[in-house]
Amino acid sequence: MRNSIVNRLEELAENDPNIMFLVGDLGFGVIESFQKKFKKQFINVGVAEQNLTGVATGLGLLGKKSITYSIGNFNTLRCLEQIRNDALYHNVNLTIVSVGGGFSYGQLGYSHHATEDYGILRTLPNMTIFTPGSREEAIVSIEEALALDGVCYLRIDKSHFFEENHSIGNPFNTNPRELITGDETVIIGVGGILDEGFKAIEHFKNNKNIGLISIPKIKPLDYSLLVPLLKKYKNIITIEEHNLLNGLSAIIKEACFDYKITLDYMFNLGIKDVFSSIVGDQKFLRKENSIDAQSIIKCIESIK
Amino acid sequence: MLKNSKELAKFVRKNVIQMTHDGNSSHVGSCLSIVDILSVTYFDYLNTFPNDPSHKDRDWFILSKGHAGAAIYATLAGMNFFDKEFLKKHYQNGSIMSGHVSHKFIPGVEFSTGSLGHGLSVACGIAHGHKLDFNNNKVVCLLSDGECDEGSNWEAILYANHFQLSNLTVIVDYNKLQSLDSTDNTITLEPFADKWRSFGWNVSECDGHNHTELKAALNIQSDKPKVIIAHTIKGYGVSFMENQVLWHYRSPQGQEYNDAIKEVENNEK
Repeated sequence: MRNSIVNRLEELAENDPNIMFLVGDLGFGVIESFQKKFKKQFINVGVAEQNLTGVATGLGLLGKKSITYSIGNFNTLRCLEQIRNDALYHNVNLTIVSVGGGFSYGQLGYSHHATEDYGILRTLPNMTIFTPGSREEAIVSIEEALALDGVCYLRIDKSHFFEENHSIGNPFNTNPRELITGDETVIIGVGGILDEGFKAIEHFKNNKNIGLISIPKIKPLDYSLLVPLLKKYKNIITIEEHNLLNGLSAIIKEACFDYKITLDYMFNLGIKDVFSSIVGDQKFLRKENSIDAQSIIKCIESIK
Repeated sequence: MLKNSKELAKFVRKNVIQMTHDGNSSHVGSCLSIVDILSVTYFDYLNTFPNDPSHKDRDWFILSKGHAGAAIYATLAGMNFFDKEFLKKHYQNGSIMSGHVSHKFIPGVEFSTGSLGHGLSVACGIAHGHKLDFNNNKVVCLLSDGECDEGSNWEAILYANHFQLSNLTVIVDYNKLQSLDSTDNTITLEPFADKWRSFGWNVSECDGHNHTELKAALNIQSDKPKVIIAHTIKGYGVSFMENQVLWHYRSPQGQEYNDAIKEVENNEK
């Protein structure tokens, strides 16, 4: 997804001199082509995320469209107040792209686990949050983010699902998408972890009742599109590589309560409000935290 | 119509006392400290368009020490960005004119601040953007001395030098008093000028209440980003407020208010 976004950015910059690509001294092997082609539209701000966000805001006040690119929590939590006071309060055109969502950099340790990001950012007014799960969703997300006159966060993780795994066609916007249609149980996810959903459904391949929904934009969320999808099902399983607090599970629970959706079962798979002190690759840490295909399968099997 | 920076300063000083009295609000000392800086910067240096505040040729001013909101509001009223009657709204319930400077619906305010250490990075972005587009717009950012404790400023100070933002001027209101005590007893800034110099900036120092010196410092030409360390007196212009930490928070009420107004009206400062 990372390369898809930067490549698309390069294409868009060809026709838009207002695009400014700012990096916090990260992006080795990814940003060089953009940097070379668009010298005047690329700034390496250095290892200074507060300044990165402030400078991007200043450029935004001049009408430019800034992207701040970094990894993990650096361009989100490190500079949270700059995002709130500077970018959001002034509603500048800024797209925060953080690669390494969830356990993408699992082996690097807790500092690099971005597992509370969108929950924290979701509480900020004016914020738009994209959580794409495939390369195609990532491309649509960056296009929408740049077109929007406001502050967006794009959470990119290392894993992704393949659009070839379903038959509904590529996304043309970031609305909630029913990737696989079912009528009894639905798995709802955000980001690359949706691939675990595909695997779980594959396990029950003769059972046609399991659906799969991706929500590539969790804020603002068009409930008029989401609610009818939820209403089709009796059981919901949410899955996310994020703290359960204020994440996808919270969003779905809020929707069920607010729109009076009654269910037989609701399972919420996510990180249980803890830091992971052990390390490992994304696949390993998903298993450790019970947010993998096997955990989904267990939920489905427990449905009576 | 105010005729010069001295008249503007007197207008601002008086209104700041009035506003902090009416609102029973803090920071009168911090406001009085920068009245002369604001008056010279607005009257004699910045290219402004009070009838068209977002004119593309305007120069930009960012008050990073947002707690001196009353001072910038009064300055903008004095420069005819809006009617001075509007100043009566300051700090009132339901008002948009907050204690810390806010840009929303207030003509002439470029940027809202209040949490320290935010303004300079934004000023760098504006200056850099104008430079990349070959525009001549100038950018001025006013910092407090206590604010220089914030690490984010030093990120921006490195940045401005690296990209040679010669269209950027920082003024530091160096009154040597911060929230609880003197800067020296809190987190010492000295050798302050040397710090900026070693970061690659053009550094000048002046009496932050002397309009001639301020004007000269603002007009120094340099290929580098420029900092003016303005030596000021917190609470300047009201004798019993000068150099007193108390007036970072205390609001002028009763006899103190009457005395302050009288002093500002009668003295030549």
